[in-house]
Amino acid sequence: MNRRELLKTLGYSSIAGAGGLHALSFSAQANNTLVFVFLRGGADSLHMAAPVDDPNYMAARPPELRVLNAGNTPGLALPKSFAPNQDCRIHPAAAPLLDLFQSEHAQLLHACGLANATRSHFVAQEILESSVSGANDRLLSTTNGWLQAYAAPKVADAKLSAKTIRYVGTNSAQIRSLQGLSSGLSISGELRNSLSWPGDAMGKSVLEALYANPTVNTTDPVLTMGQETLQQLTLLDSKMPRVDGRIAPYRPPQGVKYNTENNDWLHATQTVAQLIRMDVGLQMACLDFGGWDTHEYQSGKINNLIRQWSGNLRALFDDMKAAGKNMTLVVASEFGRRLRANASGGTDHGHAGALWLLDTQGRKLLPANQWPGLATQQLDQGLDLQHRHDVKKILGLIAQKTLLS
Amino acid sequence: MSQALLDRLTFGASPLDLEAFNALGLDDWLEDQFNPSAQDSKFDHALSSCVMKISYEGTADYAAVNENRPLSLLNKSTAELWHLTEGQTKMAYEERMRPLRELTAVRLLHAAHSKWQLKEMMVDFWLDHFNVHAADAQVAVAMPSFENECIRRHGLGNFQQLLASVAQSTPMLIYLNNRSSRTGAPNENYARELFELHTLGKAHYLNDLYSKWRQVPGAEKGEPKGYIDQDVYEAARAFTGWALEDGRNMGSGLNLPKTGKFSYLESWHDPYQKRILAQDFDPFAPPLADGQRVLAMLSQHNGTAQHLSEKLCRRFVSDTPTPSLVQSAAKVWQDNVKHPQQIARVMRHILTSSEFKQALTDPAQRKLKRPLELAMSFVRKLDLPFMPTMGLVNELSNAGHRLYFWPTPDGHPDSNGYWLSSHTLRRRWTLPMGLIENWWATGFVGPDQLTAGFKQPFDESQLLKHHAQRLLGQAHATSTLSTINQALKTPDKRLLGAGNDEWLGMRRSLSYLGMSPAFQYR
Repeated sequence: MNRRELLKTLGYSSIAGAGGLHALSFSAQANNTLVFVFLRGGADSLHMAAPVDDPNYMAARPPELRVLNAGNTPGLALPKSFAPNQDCRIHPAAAPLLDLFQSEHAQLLHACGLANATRSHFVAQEILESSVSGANDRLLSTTNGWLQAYAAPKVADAKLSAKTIRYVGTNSAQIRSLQGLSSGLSISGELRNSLSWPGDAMGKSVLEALYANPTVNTTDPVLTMGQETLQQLTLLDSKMPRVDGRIAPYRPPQGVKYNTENNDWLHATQTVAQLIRMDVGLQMACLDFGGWDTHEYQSGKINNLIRQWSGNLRALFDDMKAAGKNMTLVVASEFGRRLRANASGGTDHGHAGALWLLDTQGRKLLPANQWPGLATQQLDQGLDLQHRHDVKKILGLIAQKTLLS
Repeated sequence: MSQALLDRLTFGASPLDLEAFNALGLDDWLEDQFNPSAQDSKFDHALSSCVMKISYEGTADYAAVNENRPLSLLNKSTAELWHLTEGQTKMAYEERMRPLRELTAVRLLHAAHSKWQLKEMMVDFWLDHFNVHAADAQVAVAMPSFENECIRRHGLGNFQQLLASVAQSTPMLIYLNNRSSRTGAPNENYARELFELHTLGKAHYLNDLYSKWRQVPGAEKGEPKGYIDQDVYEAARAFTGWALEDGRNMGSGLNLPKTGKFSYLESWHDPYQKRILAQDFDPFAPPLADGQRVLAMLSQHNGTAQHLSEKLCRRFVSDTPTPSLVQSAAKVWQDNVKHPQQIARVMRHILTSSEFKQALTDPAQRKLKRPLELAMSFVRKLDLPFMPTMGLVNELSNAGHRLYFWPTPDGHPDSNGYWLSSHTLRRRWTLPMGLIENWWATGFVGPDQLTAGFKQPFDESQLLKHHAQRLLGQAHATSTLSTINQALKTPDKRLLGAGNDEWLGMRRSLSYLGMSPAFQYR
């Protein structure tokens, strides 16, 4: 079966997923889940999607750091060019995404960047994930995460709210993009192994007693986090499908193929799939995918990264289609990388890059591409891809359209 | 008060620590801690009996191994261990990683048993400040020497010496790629993080404000208050040729030796004139001089004093240290910029300040224990038997504390927010139970360990009260214990004998004390 046939079989039939039917009453709270994928380290967008025949591009990098227009591993031509009259292609390892571009479920906005000249990972990540506009990057750590403004109002009914998980991050730490929102869940590793607490039922009653005591100090963030954690784990535990009393491993529908090379990324995407299928009212999911800081030996590294990344974007998309769920997935990185390669077979920190988007409904959620060109005088500070779109504004627009309208 | 203070400066204060501290007073205790001697009997004793398990499956090239192995690689040089990185030699990944595993064991042993607790806290601080990710075998085999020669040697000493030793260290040269940086198109990775993370800090990165070096305030006088990308580009040129003897093919049939040692490659160095932080660098400087000058300028820059003082205050005082304390610490930093005990002097200033004293009683300035601190304070306060194992190290990692495996060069974030998520809290709850029930083979806790100083018959509630005091102090012991007892519906009085099974409930109750909100804070 090829990809196109697979889409047809999966996409337009609503199969009752692992979550079962009992949760239908909550589906109204999350008509659409927004999944934000952060490629940490500064993904080299010019090695993921490029005008392959641009002479400036060809002159700036050796073939192994380019998307190629010929040879053994040519790039895959996009149905629509992002640069006028140029042969725009994506990296061959991103093959799982190609027919989604053809069916317009995938879109790409190139030359997206921060309205800020920073080339620092940590400053750029902070600007991208926080609610600041980008022009001002001082004193950021106390500002809310960028997604906070797009959260639907909290369900007032306490009973109902105990049955929802509105935000999740697939990282062990709190998620910067969600800062300011209470009741965020963090799940790291395989979901079914992330729900237990020490001491079984008795341990749970003791923890509930220890973390329920309002007389100690109600503003203590540890207490709040403890209460929410126990509540959310209890909810998830009750919803996980069981075989002989044990929580079963996740089984995606037939034909949906997750890439299993990178455990963190596999579990992250499958956790999101399971939570959406459970109908717990999931509005936002934040996924981290690291390893893109390719100053050295980029060629092999990025090939692996793109294969794992695109494989599971595609699998998650197919999974949600098969479940009849709506999902918008957007991919960004803190910056793109230098046009010119360094002598270590890598690229250094740059400026603008590409933003990628998948939408199960195939809505057009991105503005038209405006390509700035790659001649030296067209580059940002003479060396990096210029931004034609402020990535923060674009992200805001996507969140607005998918979460609030 | 001294309990709270000591809990900030150690991996958990036991009653014995407290006694020693009270006998000396803060000033003398600090003086003692800032001048650690080689004498460390409890640690030495633990080290001499320490073994660490190694286990892997066999293949066609080597046999399976599953054994407890004593520590034997810690004093070996990188050159002596470099053969473990040889790709052509078939060996298990665990053998290649063994130097790092041993180092990890010793770090935990130090935290649990060393008399020189403040030094260990500083080791923890600097390993994050100069973070390297040691998953690569070439980094892993060089970590013992990195930790001993750079971090432990200079951790309370002079920052410029510390920085200079790190700049030529094998792990950093690999991790931030400087070993492959050469003239023409240098690799900027090290230079950028040197400015942003190791020295001036992102508060002094002014690229969003200025695009030309002359625009940076102070530049015309040769004292720019911060840096921009042009400084990074030029500094990357200054470090070209700072490389490693990693067997690399240099062309013309020449290969570098295979020792992992620092090496300066003249032919890779960009010798021409440079301008860094508004200072002119003449062309054709002697070997290493360009890079050394950059390190000196950065170490002595006021921005570095600010950045490092802020980080030290954040680490030991509060997530949001008062600007007055940061300023006064930065002044001590600068006044002692050439002093061999510069860092200790800054630490003394911070730890004897009124701001620090105030933070100890302010709930808003509490610091969450990092998972290593959580585990070690449980061990230390209850005086549990302890041997390090990878099982425990993996649990710490699950709780967010990835010793030697933090992937990015910034090190673990130093804010309560990072350590507190639903995932990490769940894993923190596991730590006390796993330790006291010996889930990770860190040591069996039997009646003997739990009844020191008590006489038979053992009254469970008396014992629990005693241990709760040690774990949580006066303020929280009674209320936490009664919450636990209510939830467990514990009978009022229970006498325990010598049978091990009778102690299961006791161990559980102790682990619940370790899971309580109050125990999460330093």
